Amino acid sequence: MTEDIISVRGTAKSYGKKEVVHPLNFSVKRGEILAVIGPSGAGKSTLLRMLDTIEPASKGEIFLFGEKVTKHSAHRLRNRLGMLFQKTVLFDRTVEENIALGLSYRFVSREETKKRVTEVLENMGMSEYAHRSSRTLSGGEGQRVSFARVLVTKPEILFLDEPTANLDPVATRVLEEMILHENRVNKTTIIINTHDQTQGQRLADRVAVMMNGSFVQFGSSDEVFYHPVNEAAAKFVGVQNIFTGIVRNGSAVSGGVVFGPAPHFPDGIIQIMLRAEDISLSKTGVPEGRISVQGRVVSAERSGAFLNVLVDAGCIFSVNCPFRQTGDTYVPGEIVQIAWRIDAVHLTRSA
Amino acid sequence: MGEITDGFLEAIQLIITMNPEIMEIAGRSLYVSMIATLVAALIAIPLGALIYYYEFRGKRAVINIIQTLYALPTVIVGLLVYLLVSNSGPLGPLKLLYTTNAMIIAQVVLVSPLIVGLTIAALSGLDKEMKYTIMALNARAYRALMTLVREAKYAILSAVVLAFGRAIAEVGAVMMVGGNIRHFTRTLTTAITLNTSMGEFATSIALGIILLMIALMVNLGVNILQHYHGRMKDD
Repeated sequence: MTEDIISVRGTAKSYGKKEVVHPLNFSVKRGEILAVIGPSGAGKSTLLRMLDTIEPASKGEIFLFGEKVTKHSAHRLRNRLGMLFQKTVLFDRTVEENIALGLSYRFVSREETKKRVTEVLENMGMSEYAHRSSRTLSGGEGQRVSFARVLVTKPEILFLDEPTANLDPVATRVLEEMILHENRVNKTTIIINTHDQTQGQRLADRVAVMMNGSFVQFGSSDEVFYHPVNEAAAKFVGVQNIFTGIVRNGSAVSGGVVFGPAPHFPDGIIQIMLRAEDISLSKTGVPEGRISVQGRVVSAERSGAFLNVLVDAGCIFSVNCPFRQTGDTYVPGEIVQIAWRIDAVHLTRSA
Repeated sequence: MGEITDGFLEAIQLIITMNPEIMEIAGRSLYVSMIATLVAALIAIPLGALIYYYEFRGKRAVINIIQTLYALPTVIVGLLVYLLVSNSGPLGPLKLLYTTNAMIIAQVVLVSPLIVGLTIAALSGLDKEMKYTIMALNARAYRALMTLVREAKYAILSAVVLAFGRAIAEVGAVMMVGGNIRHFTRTLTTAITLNTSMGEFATSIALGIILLMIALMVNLGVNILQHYHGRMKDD
């Protein structure tokens, strides 16, 4: 049995009268990666600071390694924790001195410090940076040095607060690889905050969706991605088609369109969700075994490699198709067929 | 017109020939204000860092009061320190009244709020994440403060230089607690006051030029520091 390395029991945080993190209950197992996704201002950063013991909780308890976080235990526990922030923090010193800072706070000997700093720089392929001034680093390099400064203290739990939010895509991938490597090689437990749902998918074993200070959903990344619990969560993970509909005779219906069977729902109002990428679009026929409707093109615009087409078929559907696969173009007013698989439709009870 | 021109020429002569009394007065001014600034910095920088670092009830009010004290009238400081060191005052037995030490105490009181306040401002200018990063790296409070002060060193040093400028330019407090005694407690500012009232304009102008040159150098120092500070921020 794997132990719960982090256990959060009714933990909440208020600033003045405003509760920014409502009481939370969850636990994390040793070696797990948990992603907390949610929009800015959801309380993700505050939660991480409480878990890292640098900010006291207003309510509830936090247990790390089975020990309760208190004013007295915080310093001792923090020796086994590490935290990386969205904004790269570099001190006006050399790279080597930056990385050694946490060790100097822990009174690690000079020889041991030298050894560990050299080692961590080697692992990151950054040995030649050792004596450079931190001012000369690019954004990605700076964040890697910040990460090295945390790793060199050999944390058992890592808290990463939007570590790649300010980085370009390439630097993001490099840092993500380092994060996964740290988890696999050293079995480090990781909680990462991100507003990028796909990053959650790439890195995490489990995903928590945080909105307005609460976890609205907690599960596997597939669950969160394909079965969001409500409209707000759905919008956050990029579901573009959300319709209010009803269940009639066991089918989900909205705007005269029958979306598919709704076996587990009693008659009544529901939310129907369908990802724009899960809808296919064609001028002629549709593949077998799909639900299809005919509609009229409202607009079509390019978005990166995709063509985003709005189709009026009773409801207005947003459809994303990879542009170069067919090379088809669509003009407003054109009659088209749209189609989707039954399992692409996700239903929730209306709030 | 002739009086001013003559005074000016004589003043230049006094400076070039390094008139012993004028040099003595300038030296005393520098000595008193440098020691006062140094002592104030040693007290005020750690105090400012502590106020910045800790969250406590009434912090905002404390900072407001400190900022108000930037404009503390020098004669009020003079009065306070006078009461403190006069024979009947709590420090009376130390016989400090009309000594350079009393003047140093007065200037420490005068410029400390400035250094405390500007230290807080300098540290507040650092990224909030820097404080969190240091805490997350598990620094004990005093180590955290040392790291933060070191990061804000240029801005804090500017504050200290500015404080020195205020110290050396003030006249009210040193006059009251020093007494402007020739060869003992006379400074550039008190000497200018006295000589002007006696009609000795040449001496006053000479002393004034020296004071201005010191002020100029202080200003230059601040500019250089702010230039370094700015360069650090830009990168």
